[in-house]
This record gives sequence, structure tokens and C-alpha cells, in this order.
Amino acid sequence: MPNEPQRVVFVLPAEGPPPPEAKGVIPQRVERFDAALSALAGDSSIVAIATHSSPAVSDVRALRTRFPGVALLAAGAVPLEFDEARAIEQRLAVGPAADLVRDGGFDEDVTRPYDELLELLGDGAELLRLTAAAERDPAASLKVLQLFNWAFFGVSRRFLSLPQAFALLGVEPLRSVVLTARTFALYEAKAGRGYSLDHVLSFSARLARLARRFGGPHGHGSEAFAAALLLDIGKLIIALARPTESDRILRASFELGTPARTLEQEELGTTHAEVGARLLSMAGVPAPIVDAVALHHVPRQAVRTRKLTALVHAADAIASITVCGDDPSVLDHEAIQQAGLASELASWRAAAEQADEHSTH
Amino acid sequence: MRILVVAASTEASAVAKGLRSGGHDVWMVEDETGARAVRAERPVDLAIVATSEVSDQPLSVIRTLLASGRRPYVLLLHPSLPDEFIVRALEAGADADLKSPVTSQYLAARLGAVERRSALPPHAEGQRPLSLPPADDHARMGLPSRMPGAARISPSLIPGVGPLSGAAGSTTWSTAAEQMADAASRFLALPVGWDSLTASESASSVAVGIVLLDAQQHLELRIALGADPPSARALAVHLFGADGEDLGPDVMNELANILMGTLKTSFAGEGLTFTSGLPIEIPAEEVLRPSAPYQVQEALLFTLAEARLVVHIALRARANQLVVTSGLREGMVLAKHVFHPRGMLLVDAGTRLSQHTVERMMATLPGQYRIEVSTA
Repeated sequence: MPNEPQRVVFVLPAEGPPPPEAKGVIPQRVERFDAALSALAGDSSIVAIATHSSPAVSDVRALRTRFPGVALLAAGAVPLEFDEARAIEQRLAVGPAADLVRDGGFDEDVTRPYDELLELLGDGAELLRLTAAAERDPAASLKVLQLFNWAFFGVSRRFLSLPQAFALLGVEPLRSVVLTARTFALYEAKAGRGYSLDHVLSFSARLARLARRFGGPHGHGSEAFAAALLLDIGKLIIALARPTESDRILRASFELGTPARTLEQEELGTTHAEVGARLLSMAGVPAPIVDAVALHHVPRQAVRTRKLTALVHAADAIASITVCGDDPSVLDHEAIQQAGLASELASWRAAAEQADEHSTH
Repeated sequence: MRILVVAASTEASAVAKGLRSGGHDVWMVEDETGARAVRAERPVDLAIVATSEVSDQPLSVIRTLLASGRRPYVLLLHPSLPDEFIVRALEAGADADLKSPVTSQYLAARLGAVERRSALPPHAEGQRPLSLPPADDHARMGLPSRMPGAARISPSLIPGVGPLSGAAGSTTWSTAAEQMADAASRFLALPVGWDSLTASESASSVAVGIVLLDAQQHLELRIALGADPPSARALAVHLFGADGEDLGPDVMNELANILMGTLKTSFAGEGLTFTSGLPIEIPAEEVLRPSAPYQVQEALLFTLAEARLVVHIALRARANQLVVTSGLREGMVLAKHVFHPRGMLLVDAGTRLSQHTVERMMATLPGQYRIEVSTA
């Protein structure tokens, strides 16, 4: 019902400004996220929670679990495209993607240290608290740092601390690195099959650096890095949750030349893009990054995150063409054009070709 | 602590003053020339290089500080300069950066961390200073020799010319032990000694390894590190404190990276380029006796305070053939799994290629993708 007023709960500090005025929005103000969850429990007509800062991961997970389909938005993004936000939210929250993420393992012992780090990053990350977390679980922190070094610098020998990584990159890229480390730890603990984590990381890191370079001049460097690093994470989740189907999809894709995402849709009713996006959504990653991951193969569907999604799609497609030898048609020129980025394509291609990384099996 | 502050600024002066009042020996100089003069006169534990803008000057200062003598811990003090510059400073050798203005409390805490990290335990009883171990010990045990000379190369396996003999005869290979000891010492902030290998060393139970290939894929360089659990734990505790005692394998992995990086850089200086390598799983018993037939190898025992660390480096000409995708033919047998660049497993190792599989691999993989096929 796009023309009917929409009820939105705004989580705003008591002394802060009032909720933004937006046509078609009936605002309700609360001061804490748990109060917003209580409001949702008592009013099924509420369509979204809008908040001024990243909520704690446990709160996000409570929202996703108890109120599937309710959008989580940045307060500053209102007024916004409610329909698009809700459509993505609902597709991720109540469809097969949610089942796969659940079955792929969320509350596992092996992921607990990473979930604690995610919790810290999601709730007003502070250097001191990150330092404390790193000291509390140095093994997980070290793995995160090794991945961070690889993803950010392309080498594994620099030895920065977790707070340094945080200071250098900011919350979202670091959260992506933690999510990657978490998924890798899960994959190794459950002896997942069908993928080489070294190859996944090598390609994803290359992709992330490329996306950061593309997005930087447009103010989307960190978000693009964060999204690009996680584009393929859904594939690992599928391999963990449905190993037989995953094997079948990989074999069929190789034998028939059919894109894996087409086979995923047929076999599972969802794609790795949506599964990855659902994982991010559960981990409290902001909606624009979730959308960019969910829509990176169909960038024209993006409205509220058109530019970011186009940037991430471009990095993915150009890396696929230059590294994997994919057909140039994987690049959606129209989406790039719609996002106002067409003039950048030549320099992006040159940047991708200059990347000095070496691919071999 | 002996501290050198390099910069002429109000912020740097305030930092120097605060450090002096904290009881440290502090010298303050304005530029690289001053820094060089102080370094020539006295050892420095910590150097703080302050800069208020992006320029090459502080990077040059950092390189000067690290150029000779005992390496100080280097902090870059800056007012939130861009990431790119910080990355360049770290690449130049800075150990960490510090954003100004900095409170005296925070600075004191950072110095405490530096002191903990740089604390040099006394040499263990009987530990040798940096010197060559006797080759006889190795020969007696049937282990590869670390001494340069004929004993470490099997002439029948190495052609007179070619990449393997080139690498084995290089300055890098003959000085590998010294270079690795120096790199390990810098990373761990510990003096490294060498000792003789004994039979018990081959029972290392914590093992890590990395393999690199040269650019032409003709040569394989392997580095393997092995330690008993108490040694691995001691290294981790030295770096991370008591809470880090489970990090032994991670520290060894990082050390393997650093040692391999040292060799890689040195080989590159002699015109032999090794590409980025991947960590490999090495069973503990294969640290000193790799299952693959390495033709040139050396084994070392590093002693680092209470820890004993076996370091094994090895070179071999590759037995299997590397074929680019367009060179694949029906009937070839894959020596290793073939993964798509994005990580998906495409074809299992040991598969004898059918014409259909060859066609699918050509359609799926880049034309110049290298695939290892068995020559057996």
C-alpha cells in the first residue's frame, strides 16, 4: 500500500532532534532499541525501525527473528523508498535465504568470539573496547588481523593491532573482515567442501580493494570495500547448509556452463547473493551494504542504493572479466549509466588490469 | 627508556617534555641529520617521528633510523593524516602510528606496551651467540646440512645451468640463515642464536609451512617451521602476554610469512622472482623430511630465549608440468585439484581429462590459467 501512511518507530536520544518530517510517515519516538521492539510487539502495522546509530547485533537479531519483514533504516535516510526496503527485507527474512543462514550455523561455539567482536562493532565501536576484546580472545583477533592484512594490503605479513585496523578502515570494512573470518572459521570447523578458502579470499580481497578504489572518489570507498569483500560469502553458507545441493550446483554449473546463481535459484529458491545479504543483515550490517550485496547481480533493481550497488557490481564484473576471463557482457552498462558512473569505466578497467596479483590454482 | 623524538613542532616538544618528566632519557632533534647523529652516538629504544603533513621527509627519517645498528621501535606521531600516508610510513618501517594530540596517560600506556615487547630476556644457559653450527651434527643425523658447500647440493640432481642451480648458487641461498635470523630477531624482538639439531628436534609437533613458485613455475621454494608446544607457547607469550599462550601456531605462521618474505625480497634483488605463496599444511614429521623430493635444502635450529625453533628451507625443480588452459589435452591427468579463480572446485586431482572436460575447462577458466598436470 504505497500511498497509505506508514508507521515508523524512530530510536532517538531524548535530547536529540525530533524525527525527520516525511510525507506518508507516521513517526513514533522511543529512546532505546528494546523499546522499539516492544512497540513492534504491540503494533503489527509498524513497517520499519529508524535509528540514528548502529544497534547492537543482539538487537538486530531479535528484530530479524521476531519481526521478519520489518525494515531497519538509518534515521537520516527518511524519507526513503519504503517499498524497496521492505521488499528486500521480506525476501531475505522470510524466504529460503533465512533458512540457509540458520542451517549454515549461526550460534556455534567456533563463531562465538567473532560474534562478540561483531557485537562490539555494532554498538558504537570504541578503540578501548576493541582493545579489550582483542586481549580477551587473541586467537580470533589474530585471524581477523591476518585476513584484514590480506584484504587491505594484499599481503599477510604486516602486523597491525585490531584497534589500528579499526582506526585505519573504520567500522564497516572491519566488520566485513570479521564476518569473513567468522565464516571461514565455521567452514573449516565443519569441514565444508567444494571451495578453496585461499582462492575465495584472494579473489574477494582483490575485489574489495578494487571496489574501494572505485568508490573512494564518490564517498563510498569503505562501504564498497565492505560489500565487495562479502559478495561470495553466501556460497560458503550454502555449501555448509546444503552440501549435497551445493555440490550438484557446482558440478552442473561447470558441466553445462549455466551461471551458478541460476542453478541456485532453481535448486534452492534463492541465490548466494541473498544468502550473503541475509547473513549481513543478521550481523547488523547497515542496509545499503546489505542491499549492494543482495543486488550485485541485478544492479538495476537498486533504487535507494543505486550508486553503491553499481560500484560494487562494476568491481565484481570487471574483476570477473580481467581475472576469470568472463564474457564482457557480465557488466551491466545500463546500470552503470543510470548511476551516473559511465565516464569512469575506462579508468576502472585500466585499474583492474594494472592490479599485479597473480592467479593460479 | 632511551627515546629519540624527531621533529620541530610544539606538539613534539610537549611530547618530549612529558617523556622527560616521566623519567626517560630523551633526545630531540629537528631532522634526519640530527637523527643520524644521535643514532651514531648511542642506542635508541624508541623513536617518535612527528609530522604534521604528508611529505617524504618523515619516511626518509624512518629509513635512516632503521638503516643500521639495533633497531628501535618507531612510532609515527601525526594529526590524523590520510590512510595512504600511514600505509607508506608502515611500509618504510614504522611499527605503529599515534594520533596527536596525545594525552600523557595514553602515551605512558603506549610506552609500557613498547617496553613489554622489547624486553630482551637474557641468553639461556649454554645458548650460543649467532654462529654457524657444526655441519658434522647434521651429517651424523642424516639431516640436510646448513653449511655452504658441496654437502648441501646433490650434483647428480642439479644441472650445471638452470633455475635450480642458479638459486642454489645465489648469494641469497648462501646467506639465507643470517637473513632469516635477523628477520626473526626483528619480528620477535629477541636475540636469535643457532644451535645444533638433535634427534628430539625432529619430533616438533607444531608445524607450519609456505610454498612459493618462481615466476616461470620451474622452481618451488618451501619454508617449514617446527617447534615443540612449549616453545611455540613461549614465543606467543613473549609477544602477547599470558593471555596469548594459545597463539603459538599463529605466531609461527606469521614468522614463516616474514622469513619467506625476507628470502623472496632477497631473491628478487638477484633477479629471481617468486610469486605470492600459499600456506600449506605440513605434518610435523615432514618439517625436516619433506615427502616431496627437494634437491637443495638446509635445516637450522634457532634458539630464541627459551624457545627452540626448527627452520627448514628447501628448493626443488618441479616434477609436474604446468600447462595453461589452452594447452590442456584429452588424456592428461591433473596433479592437483583445479579451482576457479573465485574458489569453486571444478575438477578433482587425479582426474584423467576427457575431451568434454577439456572443453569445459577452456570455457570456464582464463586462457593463461596455469594447471598442474602429472608427468608420471
